[in-house]
Amino acid sequence: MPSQDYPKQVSVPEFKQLVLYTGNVMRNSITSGKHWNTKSNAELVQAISDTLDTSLYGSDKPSFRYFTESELLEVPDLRLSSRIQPEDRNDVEVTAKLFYLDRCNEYQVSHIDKAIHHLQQLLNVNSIDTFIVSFDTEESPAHIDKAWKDLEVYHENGVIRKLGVSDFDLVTLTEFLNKKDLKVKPSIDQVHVDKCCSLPKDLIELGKKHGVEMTFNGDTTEILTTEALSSLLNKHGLVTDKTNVKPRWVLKYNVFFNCRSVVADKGYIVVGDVLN
Amino acid sequence: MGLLSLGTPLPWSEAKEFADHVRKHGIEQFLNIYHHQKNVQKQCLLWGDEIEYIVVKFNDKEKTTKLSLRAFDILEILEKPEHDWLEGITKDAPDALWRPEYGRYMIEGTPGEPYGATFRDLVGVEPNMKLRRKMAHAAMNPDEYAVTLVNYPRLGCPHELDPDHEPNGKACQSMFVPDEIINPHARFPTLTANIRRRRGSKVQINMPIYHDINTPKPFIDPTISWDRNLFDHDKEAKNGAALPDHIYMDAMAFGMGCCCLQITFQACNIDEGRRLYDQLAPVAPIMMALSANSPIYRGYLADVDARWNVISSSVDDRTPEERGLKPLANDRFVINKSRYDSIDSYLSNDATYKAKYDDIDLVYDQAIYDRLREDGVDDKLAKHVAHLFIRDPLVIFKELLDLDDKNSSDHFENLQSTNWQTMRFKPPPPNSSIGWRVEFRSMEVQLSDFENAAYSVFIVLLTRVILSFGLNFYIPLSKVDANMKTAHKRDAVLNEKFYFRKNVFTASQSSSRPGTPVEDDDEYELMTMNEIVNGKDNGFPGFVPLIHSYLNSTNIDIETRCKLSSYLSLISKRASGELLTGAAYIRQFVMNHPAYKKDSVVSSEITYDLVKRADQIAKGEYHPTELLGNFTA
Repeated sequence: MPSQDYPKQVSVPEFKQLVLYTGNVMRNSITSGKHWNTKSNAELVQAISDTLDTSLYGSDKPSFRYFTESELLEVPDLRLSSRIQPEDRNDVEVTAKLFYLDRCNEYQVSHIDKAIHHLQQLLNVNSIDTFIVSFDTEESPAHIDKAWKDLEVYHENGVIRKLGVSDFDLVTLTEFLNKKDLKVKPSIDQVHVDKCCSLPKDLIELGKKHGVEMTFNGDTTEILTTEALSSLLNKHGLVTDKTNVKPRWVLKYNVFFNCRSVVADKGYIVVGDVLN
Repeated sequence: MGLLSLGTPLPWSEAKEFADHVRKHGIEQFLNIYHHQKNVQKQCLLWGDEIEYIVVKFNDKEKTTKLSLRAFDILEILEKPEHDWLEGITKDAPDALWRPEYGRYMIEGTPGEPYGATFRDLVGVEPNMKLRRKMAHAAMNPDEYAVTLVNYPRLGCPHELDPDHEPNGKACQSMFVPDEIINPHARFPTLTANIRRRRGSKVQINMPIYHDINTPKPFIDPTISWDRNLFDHDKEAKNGAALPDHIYMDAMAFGMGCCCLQITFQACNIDEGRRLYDQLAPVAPIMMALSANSPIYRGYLADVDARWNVISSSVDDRTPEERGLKPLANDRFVINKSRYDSIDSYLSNDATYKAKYDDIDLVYDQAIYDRLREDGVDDKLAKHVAHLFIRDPLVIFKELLDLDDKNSSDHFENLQSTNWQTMRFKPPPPNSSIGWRVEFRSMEVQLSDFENAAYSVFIVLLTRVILSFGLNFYIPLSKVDANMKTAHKRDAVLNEKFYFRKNVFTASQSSSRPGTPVEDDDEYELMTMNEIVNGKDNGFPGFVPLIHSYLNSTNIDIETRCKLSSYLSLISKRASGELLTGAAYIRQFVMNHPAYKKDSVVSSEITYDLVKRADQIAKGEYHPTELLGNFTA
């Protein structure tokens, strides 16, 4: 809902980093319209806007946490708890997809560590059933390899059951599967399908041979731009219109009751840095 | 159709004496099941479809079709794999289960095993349906076909049966159909006769005729034997039962001889079952209009596209007192609906329910309600059951009067299975691991299995969407009933509007828009079918976009996603008018037929070509893109 009726000022301490939890987006309106297979980030943008509305203006006192040492502002969503009941853990499948948005090398390792940690806390789980990584098209193979090695460690430690990649075409997937040092094969390759009458038959075949399932990808790869995030924060009174906040990574997660095919929870965690 | 016990059915005069006995024990049986099963949790989604077929005999040389009354013999062949498996003769579980239906020309098939919850299960529906059709044909003679028309267009016209019989049977006492049209199992003719005896007259069905340029106005049906005097009931037609400008029908066969597409699915617990029952109730009239496939009755083009009112009238056993035509003297209640009709009350205690949605008079048995309440059943469920039990049991078997209420549900099922509503809430059978189930009953069967699969899968996906998004479709029941009336109209999909809730998301309430009164959140409005199914800008997002959004939130492989999209696309295009409904296609076929005289008459010659076309479409030998679209996945 447009928030033009709200006062645009909320008093938060000056922050250098931002963590935002959208909570369960399934309970609000949907953003996809007539063209279901167009890649979109509308859901994330709407979710961030809704969260800022509810957390900052939804009740008498704005809801956020501020960590002075790291100058970190955390905006939680208070509407519904995402914690999975322990007795339900075996009935659900937890899927996470990490969008790498910041190409700085030094952050690569901690992206995965941080993302997994945030999700474990949010959902109150130790393990994640499927973890998919999404790199933008210009990411170097060396960086992808590094990220994959970290994931393989989590897999070995039993934290992640299945690993997945995103938007790997026939050539990229073939090369990846042939890597000499590949320890854990991806179980999933999330791909986008333009037209159902022209499915990528070769890619599907390759997948069947190696146990990689082609699942549907409806997300834009650059799921959140600096412009979009800064504009949202500005509209909701967190920063001035001269401030830029760059998204570091976005984690999209969902919780699915397998034997009933019900999506119990779906949300995003957004981490960003204020640029000078 | 329900319960096929063995035994001697009581004639009405005797059955009436035992009505209270059956009701009383039926309630005890329900209570036993309820207490035993009310706390069962975590049941997985299992579901199934039921498709009914009409068996038609073709004579290609003479270009005629006749209804084949050989269903009994055909079923013996079809049911053999199930019998062999149950008796341990074979280890292979049957691929399909077959059951008789009301008409002696009808067979019903269901999948051998229920489908599961996965998306792979959903794409397995169409192959199973196609297999069933193949199996049905293999069990028939070479000149017989199983077609999934909602009704045989010339049912009730002379000499349309094989073997032929005159309409002079004592059970129906119809001017149009003989007793031999009814399934020979004792239950069906007894049901037929007892409905008539209880009502005190034949059932009275009148569907408006479609006035074409050569159709007489007023239309007084020349094919009615106005002066026949074989039975006392014969004079009803000329005494006003047969309305001018209408197609008059006078037997249960015209209704219960129709074919439907019914979906039953298991909920994870009783509360989810009750919630889905409520949320799907407003969807029932929408789906009937979308699946409309019955514009012809007794050889005439009608001005309606759907069959619900025909069936409703065909089993209406209410006496004149119950219908409010005479003051109450012998009967207990004035009842505003036939025992076959849309639901009369909501069932769920969900937080989104509000009392204002139950705005039609609910007639229920106070003593039964009190008994249920005193045994711990909540108000809504008690009213629901006490409402079903205002009806008399119509078929009672002498040998099965005294049952062990702890282990049998026959008396409960007696009433439960002869209340036919748009939704049915189904308690588990006693001593079974089957859970609480909900049956969606308003859809009309489609000509091809691609369509039947699409509509079935659509409903199942819609239930997943309701649960995943926490949707709220509540509108007052009076508006749901208004929608049922509208859904019958010719081309309702294109021309009519239906009441539908505006704001279906429970979380985004007025708290985020200060100043908005709470009442606004419950608003409903008239929407077109296109808006309801495909969405409205700044309004209801639409069933199909909701389903796509749900699928986008799962790990679904691209091949399955594309197959499901082809089903959603069919539904979407039927709603937008880009594709014809079955009813529109059939109507066009008749009106464009060279032998059609623009007088609403659907002759034998036209029927032969129509039924032949239906068969070709079902077999994939003819593909009308204006009906089926062009989906490659």
